[in-house]
Amino acid sequence: MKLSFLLALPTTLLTLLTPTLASPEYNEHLHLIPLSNEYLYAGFNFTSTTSQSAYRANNYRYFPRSLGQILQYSRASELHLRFALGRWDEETWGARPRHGRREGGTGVELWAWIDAEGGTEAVEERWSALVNSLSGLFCASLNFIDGTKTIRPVLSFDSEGTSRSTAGSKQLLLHGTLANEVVCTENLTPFLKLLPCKGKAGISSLLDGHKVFDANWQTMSIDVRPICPASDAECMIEVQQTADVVLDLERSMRPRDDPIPRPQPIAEIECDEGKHYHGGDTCYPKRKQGAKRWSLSKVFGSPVIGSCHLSERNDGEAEEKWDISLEVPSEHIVEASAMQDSLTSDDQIRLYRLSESRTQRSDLSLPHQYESGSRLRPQPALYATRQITGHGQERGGMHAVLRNPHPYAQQIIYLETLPWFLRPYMHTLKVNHRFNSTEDKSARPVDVFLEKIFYTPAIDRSRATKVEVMFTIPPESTVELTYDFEKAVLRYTEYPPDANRGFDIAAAVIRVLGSIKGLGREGDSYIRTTSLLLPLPTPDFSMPYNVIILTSTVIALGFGSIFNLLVRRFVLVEEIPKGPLAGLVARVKVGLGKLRGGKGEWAEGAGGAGGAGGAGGAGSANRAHEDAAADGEARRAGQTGVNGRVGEGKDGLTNVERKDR
Amino acid sequence: MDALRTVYNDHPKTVLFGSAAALRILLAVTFSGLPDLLTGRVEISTPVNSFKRLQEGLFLYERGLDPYDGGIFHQAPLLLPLFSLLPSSSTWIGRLASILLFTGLDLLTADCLYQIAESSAAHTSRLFSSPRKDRTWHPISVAAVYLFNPFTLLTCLGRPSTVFTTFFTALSVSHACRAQTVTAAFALAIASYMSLHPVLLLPPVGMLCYDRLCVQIARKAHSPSADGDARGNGFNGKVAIDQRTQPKALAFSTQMLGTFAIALAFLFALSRLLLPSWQFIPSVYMIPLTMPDLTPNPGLWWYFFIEMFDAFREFFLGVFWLHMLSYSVPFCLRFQKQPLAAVVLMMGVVAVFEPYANVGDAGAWLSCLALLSHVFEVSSAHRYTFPALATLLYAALLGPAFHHLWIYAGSGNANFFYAITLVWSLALLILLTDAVYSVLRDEWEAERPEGKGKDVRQI
Repeated sequence: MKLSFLLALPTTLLTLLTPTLASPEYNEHLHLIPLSNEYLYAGFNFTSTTSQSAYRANNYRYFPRSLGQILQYSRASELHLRFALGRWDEETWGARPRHGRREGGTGVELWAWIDAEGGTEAVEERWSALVNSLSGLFCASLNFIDGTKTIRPVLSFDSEGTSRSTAGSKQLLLHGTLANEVVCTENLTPFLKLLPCKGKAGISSLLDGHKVFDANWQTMSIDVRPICPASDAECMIEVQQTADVVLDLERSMRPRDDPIPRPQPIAEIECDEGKHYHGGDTCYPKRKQGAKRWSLSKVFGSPVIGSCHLSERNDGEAEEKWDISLEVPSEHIVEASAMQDSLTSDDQIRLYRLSESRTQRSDLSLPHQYESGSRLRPQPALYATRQITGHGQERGGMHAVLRNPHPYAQQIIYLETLPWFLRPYMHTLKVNHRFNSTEDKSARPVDVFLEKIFYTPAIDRSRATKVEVMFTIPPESTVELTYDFEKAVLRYTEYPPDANRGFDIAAAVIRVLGSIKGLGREGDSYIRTTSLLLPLPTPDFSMPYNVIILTSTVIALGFGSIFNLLVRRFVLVEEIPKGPLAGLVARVKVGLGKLRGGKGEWAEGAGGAGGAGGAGGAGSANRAHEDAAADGEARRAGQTGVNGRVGEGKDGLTNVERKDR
Repeated sequence: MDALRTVYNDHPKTVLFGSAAALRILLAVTFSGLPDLLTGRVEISTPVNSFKRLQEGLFLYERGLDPYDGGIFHQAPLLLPLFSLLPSSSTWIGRLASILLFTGLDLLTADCLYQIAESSAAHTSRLFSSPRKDRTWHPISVAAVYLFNPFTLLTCLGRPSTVFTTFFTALSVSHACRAQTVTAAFALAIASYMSLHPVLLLPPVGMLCYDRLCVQIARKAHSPSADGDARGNGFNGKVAIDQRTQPKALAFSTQMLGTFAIALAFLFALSRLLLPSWQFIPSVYMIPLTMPDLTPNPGLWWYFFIEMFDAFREFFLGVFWLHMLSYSVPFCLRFQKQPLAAVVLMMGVVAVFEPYANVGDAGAWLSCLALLSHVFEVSSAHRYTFPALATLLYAALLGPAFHHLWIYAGSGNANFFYAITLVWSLALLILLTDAVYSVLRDEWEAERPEGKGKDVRQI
């Protein structure tokens, strides 16, 4: 029992053991669990420690120099870096490995405690230095973790290290996520280079990009933390690298030279003879029973090459002398080849030690067995899902469902990092719960009391939103957390090339506090939801010139016509001084009129008016003019008087209008 | 029926205001989803006036956080204590309370317009008396145009905070029409404090106020001699003005500017008392200047700055603001004789060219145009008023449809909505130029009565 506890929590193990170790230490371990019948969980764990004095003196042995120098430069005392891909299927695979403490949300996640000396500016500079150097080290776009992707969580993360607090030294926690980063082989290679055996020997030789990134779920983590024993012994710096994968056995065992799945030859298919149509020419394939046949060399593409035993051999009870542990029912047959040592503990765990030889190829293989291969996995602390609700590209809602399957209440902290272009409305935040057993779906859900909320609203283009909510999920109930948000429209240069794909929203981090069960800080477990894809409204990317031209035209039209009216004065058409050209035109017209014979009057009228529209002949136009003039005189006369002129003026006006028409 | 007519004839204002309020409340009560639907419309709610964002700011304010330390809330701080008195708007009672508040604001604005129309400042001023002043609409019609304008009605239900700006602007103008310098400047300061652009109205409002002050003094000087005749004679500009009794323009402008500045300082100080920091100044007043939030609206700015090249963004922001500024002083110079026209036309410029344009401002301006009702005949006879109004209707109907096609249906792209906002702005601009033309022509015809109804050219 003690053994399984230690394996599940390697961190605890090391916390307990390190006080006795003063010399540099390195050990590695592979933990294998067949999950259901088709999946295999493999958890690699590489831990190396060095003393604080050696670290300060840049004296590296197993501790990776490149990482150490980055940490020293950016004055980070504790670092957690995660690369993750895929989804952990908690419905069938049960609880997460290592209590979720060594996994990240899809993409890259990084959090670090950085020396706060010098104020916020200095910390931000150090953080920027850290992400930029890690970006170079791991060939990842970590340098895109800028202010818009960095938050400062208050409740969600606790320092894992134990440092002797010196007076005046304050550490600041910064947390950044990069949800759209696709983790790939190029990130695995630098990860392996940090190991003392560089992936050439020992269990790390199993880590091959083709297989690791073909997994259904995989996560790599790097955790650096200081460990100071309670006594006056020297502080240590520990770097723990883990790589957890869940492999689809069938897919990963396809031969590399022929990866396309093909129908099996008929002779190899086992037929279900119970079917009534079974005969010589018809065959209903029988469902495979029991656990699949697999071996390390087939699943990972190659057997384990040699071993990487660097520390002095630690005999006795110490568990880290074992390289591989395998969790299968005790009645299963396991064929181990070229293992130096093996031990079968009574509670279904088998331990193996690789041989000391550098070139020995070791392998584990499990033949096909009819007994069900998987034992019942422990239930996860919570089931968590998160979706975006609503339709259209204008607004939407966030909807997280957290289901507590246990008969006890659990206190959790829910953390979300939202990019600035998703604008949440916190006044619409609702958290309510409903018991799992409630059949009546129409029953009104009960509001959950929010114990603490830490909310940092986003600032456009410079800061991300952080929402941290602490509440208790009642036993056997489902909590729904919802709020509305609005989607921003970005500048056209801010969209990625695949703008219509949408934007990735980082996973929500849920911390289930163990203290409520009396497990203390080490009993906390983490759950991450899947990341989300947020479609934003897009402009037409081909339009910048057109838009500039069209909008400017409208504005110029308004400006032009208004100022045209403002700066010029009105004159009657008749009063327009004739230009030399107009005189010429009039003369030509007169001439033309004369040629036509005695229609000069008409020509003169038209020429004089310069195109006055609608005048029905010279006579009427003249008459209108005279009337208007008379009317004007009447009005001028009337202005000196007192009353009664208005009606007259008005009549005159309508008169003119009628004639004009 | 007869009884109704009698009531209407006896108390037209009461009936009008009562029916307008009843219509608004009835709409909100009958269609309970309508207010929230309208609040969500981009045509009504912009980032600087949205009711939903106000709720978010209120949520943060009530929890002791700085609502301006974020990218969502950009409205004036003094709205916060006011709205925290109302019950939460997610309940029906809160929704009703907010509707009642905004209905009240609309009625007050209509009352201000009524008073402006009643003061006859539109057609008669110190230096000018319109030959068409008898064609002015009855003040009750002006108020009715405001209250039953569909844009105003929808805006009232959508509850954007620009309704406050409209009210205080109207209040300022109505006080200016009564020559009350201090209150006019104070109301304009509140309007500018609510949203930045009413600052542009300061020169025309100041001019209006000065003009009315002169008229008032002139009237007082005349009233002992010609007591009953004040209306007919005293207003007839050319006769009345005695240069010696006129107030000094410099002293007046100092008083106006001083009151404005003191009122603004007072409002800022009051806001600072409510809030933990000065953060609200950049958050409220830099947002319309720099336009970081490019949510679509019926104005000209949003798509322009989405598509603008990064290197030229600051340059064009400057150009757009200078462009808006460039109207204030020329209007004052050209409409010296008709200061109210300068105010109304400047409101039009703001409604068309403001960065976060919305239907509420445009609707309020269209209603204010009724103040210049005496020149409508010029506009309809010589200009393109009918096509412009038809285009306005066309844009108003197609706008929501195109927005739906872009955002929800996905069968249209952003250009659809952009095109319709262009058409909308163009229609408003044509109306604006028509109004400018009519006012100028009216002024010209006062000097040249023989030009009435004739074709004219501008040189």
